[in-house]
Amino acid sequence: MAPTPDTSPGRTREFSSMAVLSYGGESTVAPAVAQADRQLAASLRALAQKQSGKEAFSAFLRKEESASYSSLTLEGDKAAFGAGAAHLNEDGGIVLDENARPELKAIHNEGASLLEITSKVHDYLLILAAGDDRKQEERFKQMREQGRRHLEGITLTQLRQEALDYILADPSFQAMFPELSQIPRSQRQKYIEAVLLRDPDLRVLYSRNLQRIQEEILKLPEVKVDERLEQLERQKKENKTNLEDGIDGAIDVLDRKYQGIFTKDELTEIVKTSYNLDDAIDTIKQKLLERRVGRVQEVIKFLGIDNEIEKTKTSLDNKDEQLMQARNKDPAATESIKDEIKNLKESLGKLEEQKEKWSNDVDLKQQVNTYNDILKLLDTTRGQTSEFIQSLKKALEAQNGINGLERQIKKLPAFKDRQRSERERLAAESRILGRLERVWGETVAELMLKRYDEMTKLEQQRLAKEAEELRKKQEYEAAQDVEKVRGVIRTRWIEYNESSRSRILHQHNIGEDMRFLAYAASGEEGVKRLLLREAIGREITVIKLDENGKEIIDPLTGQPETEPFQWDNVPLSRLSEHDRKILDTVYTTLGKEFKTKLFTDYYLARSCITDRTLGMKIFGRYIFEASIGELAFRQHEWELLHQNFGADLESALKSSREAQGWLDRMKREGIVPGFKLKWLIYLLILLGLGSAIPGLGIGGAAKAAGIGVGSAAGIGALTGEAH
Amino acid sequence: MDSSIQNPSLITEDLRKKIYDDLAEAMISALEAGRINQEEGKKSAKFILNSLDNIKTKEELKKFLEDLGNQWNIYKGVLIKLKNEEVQNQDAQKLAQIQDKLNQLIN
Repeated sequence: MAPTPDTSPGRTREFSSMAVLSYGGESTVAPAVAQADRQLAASLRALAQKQSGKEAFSAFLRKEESASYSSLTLEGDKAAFGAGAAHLNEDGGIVLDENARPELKAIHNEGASLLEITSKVHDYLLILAAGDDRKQEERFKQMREQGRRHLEGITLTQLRQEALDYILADPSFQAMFPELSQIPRSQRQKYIEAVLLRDPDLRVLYSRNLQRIQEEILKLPEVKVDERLEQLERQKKENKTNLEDGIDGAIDVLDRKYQGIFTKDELTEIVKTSYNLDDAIDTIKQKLLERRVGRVQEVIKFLGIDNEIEKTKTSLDNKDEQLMQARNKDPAATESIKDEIKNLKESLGKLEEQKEKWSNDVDLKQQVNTYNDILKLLDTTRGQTSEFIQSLKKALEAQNGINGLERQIKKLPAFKDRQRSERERLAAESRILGRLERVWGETVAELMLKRYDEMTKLEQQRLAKEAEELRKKQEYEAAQDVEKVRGVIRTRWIEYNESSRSRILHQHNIGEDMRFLAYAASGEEGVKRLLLREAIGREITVIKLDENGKEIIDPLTGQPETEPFQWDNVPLSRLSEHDRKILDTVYTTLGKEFKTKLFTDYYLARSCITDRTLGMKIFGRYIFEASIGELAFRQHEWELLHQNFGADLESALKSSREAQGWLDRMKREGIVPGFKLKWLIYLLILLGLGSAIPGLGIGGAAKAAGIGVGSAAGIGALTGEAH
Repeated sequence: MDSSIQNPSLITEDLRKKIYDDLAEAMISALEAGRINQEEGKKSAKFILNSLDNIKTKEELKKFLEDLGNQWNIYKGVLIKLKNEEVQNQDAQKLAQIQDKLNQLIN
């Protein structure tokens, strides 16, 4: 990715660091939540097995919220962070590791880079609006001439790629449509560029949302500046440079003789923890001898053995003299002196024998040479001439300087003020980062919901018209039943209140009905039973039959006996004529709409609407998770749904040129879309966000956007009817 | 004497412990699979700890498990499991009775 111009003195920033930024900000939250949940689950399971399930619940309850999410902070658990990195690497193609964290902090302190990236994306949207390639190129040049600094030094192609890379990395969009991850990155990019970004409604929304964030960036609180503090910080920085120079110099000298014997960090640590030069030299000597001269004790003894022999010989001479004198003056003492002489002679013999042995030991001789070299290298008496000692001294002096300056800095009142203002700024930036991370996903969701509302409105108008026609035909009762179920379609899953423009998500109902359809004997029977529940009620009374299938007549009343069933288990063949007529009417009139609206509401609810009353807010963010509560389906449930509605979906997709465009392209790429992905494609087409990619010869003439595609005609397509 | 032996509709402490264990397993599995978040998990844990110890009869237990399953889908399986076990127990009892009668006839 191309580097962007440096926007602040002394700092070089790369556009790609935006990825680091979004990576470190909150995009790790979803995988890290999963990681933290798994870790918590593992410890709860251990507790449940060791003690009891009750104890596991109690322990879970005692666990503080902050503790359970501690691993999600930037300074949090490395494992969780690593998991986040791996997740992004797989999905977003961003290669990062936890070493990116210090860099993240630096970026955090620089609002300009945030402004720059949002400006670039924003400008790219403006350029797209210009029209064809030639006009876009002209617009780009105009904008550059207007003095937009962030456009200097890059080409339109680079700008386009940077903007698309940024959008693609949006974790909320990825989480909204996990099925899209089946499609290669290049195609996802093409989909965003050629379909979504060409939608004028989406461009307007996205641009507006980006601008709002830019305004917030410009209002970020400043970090407080103090002249004395700045001066001390500058001195500290200089000392840090000297420290690094000194360490580098010392490492150079060591590497020439003993390649890789110390790492830079290791030597820095020795410098930081030593009181003075001698102390540092002692530590270094000890470590060098341990690493390079294994038989240190033998080497030292060997080097001193001549001295030892000489000392023994002198002692022996002295004892000989003592013996001579004792013979003349104190004959009684001669015996003990003789013993001492004998011992000394034995020692001398052993020393000479040891010397002879060591003198023939080649390995020991080499170790002696190394030992001498090390001593020479670390000889402080040669301080003025030894390059190593000079470098080490420089590092030590710089470290002392840093320590002193840090003490001075901490004493300054301005230091605490700055720390506080830095914290405030970081908190404000963190909020902005959170918004930046989900702005694209939220924009797409916003547009989808807008289109969905329009679609629902059109659908309701159509159904109202049909009900009116029934009324005109004087089928009052049937019209009432249809009206009743129409109300259910309008309110049971996603309820939209036109006057208050509010949307209420009935997650439980969606999950319950979708599961019922999955587990039903067949798709159509499932739909009929749901309609029966809404049109007639939960309890259905039917005539009681004997073993031969004949009606049982009550001998007292002479009337057939009845028995109650529930809507989900009543034999449909035994419905009374009255109930059958109602079911037939509502099924014929509303069956198709009912199931399509349910499926569409399910996808919308899962992808775009988060039920904020569920408290899914984590670090100020409502996560777009596919697996929220009752909307999370297990694989076998999807398979059951596919079994019951796969044929419907296939024929609906076949009747759509746009869908065929997607499917053909995927086929050519060797992708076999599953039921979930096919449903997603269907939904996107329904909402005008799934047209085939123009210019690829597939459905190029299809409507790129607009509610027309997702109108009542679109809904009817699910049944395979041609429109 | 265990009160449940005197009155079979009362629940035993063993059953209470088993229900706790089954519920904990359901919650932990859901947490692992990402089907519930920690906040919701805690709400449910509080509900369980506040209710289960006060339950005396099997009917109350079933009602509690039903309410729990309605609020948090992840626990639905525990009631189903309990009902299945009851049916199995009843079947086993019936089989034992039949066996007894057969034995009486044979002997």
